[in-house]
Amino acid sequence: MTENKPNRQELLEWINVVSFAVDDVKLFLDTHPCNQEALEYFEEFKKQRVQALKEYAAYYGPLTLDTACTPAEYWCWINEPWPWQEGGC
Amino acid sequence: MPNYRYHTPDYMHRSGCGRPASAPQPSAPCSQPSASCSQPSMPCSQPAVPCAQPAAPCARPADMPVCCDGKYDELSGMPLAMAYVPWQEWQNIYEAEKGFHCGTIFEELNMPFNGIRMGGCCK
Repeated sequence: MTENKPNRQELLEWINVVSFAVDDVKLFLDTHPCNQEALEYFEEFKKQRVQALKEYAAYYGPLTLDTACTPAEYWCWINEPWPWQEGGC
Repeated sequence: MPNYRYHTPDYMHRSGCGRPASAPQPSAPCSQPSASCSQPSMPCSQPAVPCAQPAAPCARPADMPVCCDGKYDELSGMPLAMAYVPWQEWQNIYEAEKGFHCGTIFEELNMPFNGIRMGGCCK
């Protein structure tokens, strides 16, 4: 698993990129709800965002509550550095 | 939820331009000062007795509305306090990385502000 471990900073950058793309196309869709190309763009980048968040959570801990560990596990949220700490976001 | 696009005048839907081809002219091009106040000799000079000051001089042609600085105002005659935004099309989409660093995924909306002396935006 560690062999394919993604670079933390690069993965965070990618999460920022795809999250922004989803957010921006969301604004376009607010006024163009039937635009097929925009809908496809939204679906594609939403999928990539979810995938990137899951991958990050698997290696470095959850960034959002959506990818927080299951109740059966230890509450690992507190293990990772906070954004203002070294190694955080 | 109704789409506001379908409840707006036709000229707001045209691509490439959010302004009407010929702006409707106001029925009264400028307000007439009352007899109790003095007429200013120059359009921007202050009258001796304050009165309703038209935004533009009354002598201008009705088909050539002007702003105070003498520039032609394409929006003259349009209702005040209304905003007109051209309809955006899905085109010229940046790569996601470039969109993130530009603050928009739409090339047409990438307009960094360069200050009013530089023309407002870089476009």
